[in-house]
Amino acid sequence: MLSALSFTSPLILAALAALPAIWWLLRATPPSPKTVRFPAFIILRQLKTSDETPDRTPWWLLLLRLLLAAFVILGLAGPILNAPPPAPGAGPIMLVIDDTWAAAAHWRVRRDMMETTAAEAAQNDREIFVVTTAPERVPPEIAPITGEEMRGVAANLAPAPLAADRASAIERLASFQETLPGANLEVRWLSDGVASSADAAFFEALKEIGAVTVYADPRAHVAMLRHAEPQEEGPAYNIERLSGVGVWEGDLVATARDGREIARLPVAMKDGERTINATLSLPLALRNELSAVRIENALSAGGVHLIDARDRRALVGLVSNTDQSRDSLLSGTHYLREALNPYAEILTGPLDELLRSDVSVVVLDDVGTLRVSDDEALTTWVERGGVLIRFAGPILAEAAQDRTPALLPVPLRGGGRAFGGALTWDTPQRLDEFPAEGPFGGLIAPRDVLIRRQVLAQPGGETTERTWARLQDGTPLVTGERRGNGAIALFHITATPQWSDLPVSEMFIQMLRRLTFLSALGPETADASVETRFAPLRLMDGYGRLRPPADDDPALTAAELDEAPGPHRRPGLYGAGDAPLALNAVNAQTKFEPLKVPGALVLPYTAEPPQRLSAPLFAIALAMLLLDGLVTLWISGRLRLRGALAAAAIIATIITAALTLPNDAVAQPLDAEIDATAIDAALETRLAFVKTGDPAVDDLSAQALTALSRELYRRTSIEPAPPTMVNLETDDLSLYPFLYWPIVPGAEAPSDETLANVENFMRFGGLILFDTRDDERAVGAGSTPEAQALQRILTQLDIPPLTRVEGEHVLLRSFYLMGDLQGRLRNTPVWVQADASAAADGVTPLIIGGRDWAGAWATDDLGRPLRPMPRGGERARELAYRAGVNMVMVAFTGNYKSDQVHTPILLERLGQ
Amino acid sequence: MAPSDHNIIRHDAEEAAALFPALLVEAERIAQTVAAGLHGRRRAGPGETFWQHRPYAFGDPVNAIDWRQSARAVDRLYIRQNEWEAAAAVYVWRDPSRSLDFASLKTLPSKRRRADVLTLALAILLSQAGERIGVLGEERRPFHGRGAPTRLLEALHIDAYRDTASTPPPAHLPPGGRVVMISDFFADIDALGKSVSALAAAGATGALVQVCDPAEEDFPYEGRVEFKDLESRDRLIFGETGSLERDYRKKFAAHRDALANVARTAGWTLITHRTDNPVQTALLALYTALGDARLWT
Repeated sequence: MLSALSFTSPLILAALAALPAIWWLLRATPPSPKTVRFPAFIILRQLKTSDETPDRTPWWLLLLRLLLAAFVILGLAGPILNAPPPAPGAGPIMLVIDDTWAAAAHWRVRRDMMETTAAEAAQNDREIFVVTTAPERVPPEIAPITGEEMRGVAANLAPAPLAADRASAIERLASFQETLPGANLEVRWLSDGVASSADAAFFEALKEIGAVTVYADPRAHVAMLRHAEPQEEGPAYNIERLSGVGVWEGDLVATARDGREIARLPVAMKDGERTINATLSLPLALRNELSAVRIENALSAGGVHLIDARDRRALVGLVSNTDQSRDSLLSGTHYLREALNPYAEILTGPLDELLRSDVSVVVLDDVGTLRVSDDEALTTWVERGGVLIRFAGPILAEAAQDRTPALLPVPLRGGGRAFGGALTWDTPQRLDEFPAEGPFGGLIAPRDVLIRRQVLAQPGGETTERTWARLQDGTPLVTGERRGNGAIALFHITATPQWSDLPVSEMFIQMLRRLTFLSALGPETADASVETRFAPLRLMDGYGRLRPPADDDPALTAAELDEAPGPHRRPGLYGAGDAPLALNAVNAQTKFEPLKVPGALVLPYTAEPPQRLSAPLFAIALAMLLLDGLVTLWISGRLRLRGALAAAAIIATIITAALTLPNDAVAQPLDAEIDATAIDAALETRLAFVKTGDPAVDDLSAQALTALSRELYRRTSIEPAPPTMVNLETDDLSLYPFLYWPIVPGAEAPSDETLANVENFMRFGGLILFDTRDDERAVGAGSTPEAQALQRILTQLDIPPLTRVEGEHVLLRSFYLMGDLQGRLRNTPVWVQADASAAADGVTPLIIGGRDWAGAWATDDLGRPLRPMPRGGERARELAYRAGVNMVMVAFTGNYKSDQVHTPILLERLGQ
Repeated sequence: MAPSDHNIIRHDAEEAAALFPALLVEAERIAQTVAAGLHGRRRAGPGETFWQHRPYAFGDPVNAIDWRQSARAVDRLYIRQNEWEAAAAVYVWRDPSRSLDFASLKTLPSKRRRADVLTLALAILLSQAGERIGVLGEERRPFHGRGAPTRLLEALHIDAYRDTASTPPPAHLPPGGRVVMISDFFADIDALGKSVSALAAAGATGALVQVCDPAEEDFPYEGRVEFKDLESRDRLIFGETGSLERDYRKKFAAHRDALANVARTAGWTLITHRTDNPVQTALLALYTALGDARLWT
C-alpha cells in the first residue's frame, strides 16, 4: 500500500522540518483570555493578583495545530496512490491485445493500459504497432500509428465474442517482421489470461520482435458458462473460472425471450475450486420460454449461454375423430390438450400436414383405420424417430372387430371389456405397478384411478412384452413398441373420462410426458440436411450483449451453426425471431485454462487507478482548522453550547464527507418482508388495542378484548381470534376492523407517522374506540389528565364533527336494541361522528367516551370479572358487553345496519 | 432608544407598583413645606378638608364667611376654616453612569433597567398618593399629579449616559425633603459621603438603593479572565480568577459596609438589591423606608 504512494512535488516535504519551529512559536503565544465586562472595577482594583503570567497553550491544542500544519504540507506535496511508474525507453511500442471475450470482463483495465501507452507514446513521439489476436475475417495490417491515433484506437477497440487465435497472429507477426527486419520494439502483450494451443510459439514470435512484457491478471475473476448435460429438473451448466484463488460468488440468471427473469440461482465457488455445476430447477413450461442463461454481471460473451429453439418443447400433432364442435369436456382432445400443454406445442390438422410441420409426437384419439398414404407416411415418420400415441375408443374397437388396424403395438380382440356394470362380475380395476423396464418405470401407480372399460389385446408373449402399463388383473392398459428410432403406444382406454379416471388424474400428464420424450425428433433433424441458410438475427458482442447484426454478417446453415464460433460464424441468434437458432461463444470444445508463458515477464494490470490524496488531506486540515477555531473560542469562553454543537456537527460532516467513498446505492427490494403478526392478523379477524406503554392498562385491554371476543364468538357470527396489541406508529392497522384506544394520563402527542396511520385507518373504514376511563372524575367542568391527553391527540387528527350517541343511532341498534352504550361507568355522554352522510358511508370512524369499557369487559382466564361494576351489578356488565357487541358489529357491517334502521320508513314509502 | 423602551419601563413599573397601596411619605416634619398635599396638619390653613367654624373676627376676609352657618345663629358670623394640608416631595437620583448598564446573564435585566423601573414604580406610588416627586439636582419643580410618572420618565433620560456623574450632584432642597439615591455605588464612597451629609445637613432624609448584579456579588469567574471597565475602558487581566473569589467577596463586603456607614451617619436607610430578585423586594424596602407607618399598618 505504502509502496504505491508517491508525491508529485516531494521537495515540499522538507517543510515538515519547520514543524518544531511552529511548535516553539505556538508555545510562546498564549491563547487569548476570556474577556468580560465588569462594572465593579473599584473592587477589582483592590485585588492583589499573584498569577499574571500568560497561560500556556494546552499540549493537545499544540498537537492539533502541528498536525494541521503537517497535513497542509503533505497535501501540498501532492501524494498519489498507485501512480503510474515513469516509462523508460524510447523507440516504437508494439501493443499485442487479446480482444477476446475473456478480456471483456475486465476491459476497462486494458483500455486504461492502452490509454496510458498512448499518452506515453504521444509524449515521447514513439510509434505504436497494434496487433489484436481475436480472429477477424480480414486481419488488419500491422501499421505504425502515433500516440494520438492510439487514443482513438483505445476508445474504439471493443472485445470480440471470440477466443484468441494466436496461431494466425504468429503468421501476421512473421510477415510484419519481414517488412521491418531488425526492429527492436518494446512489446506489451495485454493478454486475456486464457491459454491457447499456440501460446509458446506466439511468445517466441513476440520475443523475436523485441523485449516482451506480458500483462495478465492472474487473480482477476473471469468466469465462463458452459452448457452441460441437462438434468431431470432443468438445464445444467458448468461455471468455470480462470483462477481458483479466493471465493467466487455470482448469480446464474435465466431470462425469457421478453427479457423477464425466469430463474435465479446463486452460485458460490470455494477457494481452490475452478468449476462448479449448477442446475437450474425449472418447470417444464418455463424451460421452453428460456432465451438466455447468463452469469450476472459477468460482462463477457463467455458468461452467456443463448438457448437454441431446438432445445424447446415438443410439437405434438393431434388427430381426433370426435366432432370438434361438441362439448369439449366430452371430447378427448380437451383432456389431451390439458395434459400436454405444460410442455408441448399442440397442432391440429390433417395427418399429412402435421407430419410436414415437424411434429415429434402424433396423438391419434380413437382413430380406427388410416388411409393407405397416411399409413405409409406415419410408418416412415415413426421409423425416423416420431412417437405415435393412440387412444382406444368405440371406433377403434369397432375397427378391430374386422381386422387388426395397422400401426398398433399389439393385435386387438374385437369388442371391449367393461367392468363394474350391473351385469358384470368384475369390479372396476386399479392400475398395477408399472414395469420398471418400460417408459413408465419409476412412476408410482395411483390408488384412486379406476378403469371401467377397455379394449383388449390378443393375449400372447408379444403382448406381455409390449405391455407398458397394466391393470391389477394383468390385462394391458398401455401397450407400446419401439420401431426404428420412434415408438408406437396404445392406451387401451379413451382419452375421455368415460372409460376410466385416468384422463383426469395427474398420472395421465406424467405418462404422456414420458411418451413425448421418447421422441428423437426435433426441428433441426428435419432441417439438417437442407441447405437452408439462417440469417443472423441478433449477434453477441464481446460483453455478451445482443446487438443487431451488421449488413455483412453471413447467414449460416444449420450444420455451420453447430461448429465452433469464428470470424465468419459470430455468436448470436440466427433464423426466425420466434424460434431462433443459437451459436454460443463457448461450446464443449472451448479451452479455458490459465495462460502460462514460461520465461516471460508477467506484470499485473494496474487494477487501481491512481488516486490523488491531496483533497482528503486538505479536507482534514480544514476540519482541524475549524476545530482549532472552536477550541480557541471555547478557551476564551466565547462559545455557547448550542453553537458548539452546531459547529461540531459541521466538522463531523466534513470529516465524514472527506473519508467516505461514494457507495453504490443498493436498491430496496420491492416486496418488503411481511411481518409475522401482520400475516396472522390478515389470516384471521381479530380485535386490536393500542399499546399505551402502561403495562397495567395494556394487560387490562388485552383481557377486556379477549372477553369481548369470547362474547362475540358466543353470541354473533363474528368469530374473532385472540386480540392483538398494535403499535400505532409501526404496525399496519389496515388489518384490523376495530381498535380500542385507552387514553392514559400524560400520553405523548402522537408522531406524524402515527397520525397518518390512524387517519388512514379511520378513512378506510376502521372504527376506533377512544376511552378516557375518567367518567367518574369528569363530572365537573375541569378536565382530567386523560381528557387533556385525548385532546392533545384529537387536535392533531382530522376528525369529523361529533355528536352524542342518542335515540336511533345505529350503535344502539346494530345488534341489541339499547338505550345507551354502557361501560363500567355511565355518567358522561359518548360521542360519535355527527354527520351521517359524511365519509366512509356515514359509518362513524370513532367512538369517544370515558366509560371504561375495558374495565367492564375484562375477565380473567376463567371468565371471572376483574373490575366491579359501580352501579347495576352484573346486569350492568351484561349491558356493557352488549354495547361492545354493538360497536364491533358496526365496525364489521358498516352502513348495512344503519340501512336496516331505515327499513320501516322504506317499507312505508313503498306502500306496504 | 425608542419610545417603546419608555413603555416597557412604564409597564414593568406599573406592574411592580400595582402590588402596593399609594405611598404616603411619612410626614414627620412636613409642616414646613408649603405645597398643598394630603398631610393634614391638624390646624386651620389652606386645604380642601373642612376643619372648623370660628366666630368672625375683625380682619377676616369677607369671602371667608360661611353664610349658611351664620344664618343659623342670631347676630353671629362664622368663618369656615379648612385643615392645612401639605404634600411631601421626594427627590430621586438615579445614577446615569454607564456602569449600571450591565447584566451578567441574558436572562437578567441590566442594573440600569432595574433602577429605572424602581424609580418609576416609586413615582407611580407617590403620585397616586398625591405626593410630589422630583429629580435630584434639577432646577425644575417636583412633579405631581397623574402626569408625574410620565414626566419623571422623560426627566430621567433613560437612554443617555453621563459617566462623569457617578456621585449625586449638589442640590438645594427645601427642608424636610426626601431623597432616594439609586445606583450601584461603585464609585468613591467619600464623595458620596460628602454629598449625603450635605443633604442631611440641609434636613433631608432618605434612602440609598444599591442595585447589584449577582455576578458582582458572587464573582463566579474561573481561569484566565480579562475584565473591562464599563466607564473608563480600563482592562485588568487575572490569571486565576477562581482563587480570587474569597478575596473579592471580602472587599465587596467592605465596600458595602462603608456604604452602610454613610447611610447610618446621615440617618438614612441603605437598601441593597440584586437584579436576580424581583423588583418588588426593593420597592417594598423603599416603601417601608419612606412610607407613613401610621397609614399602612
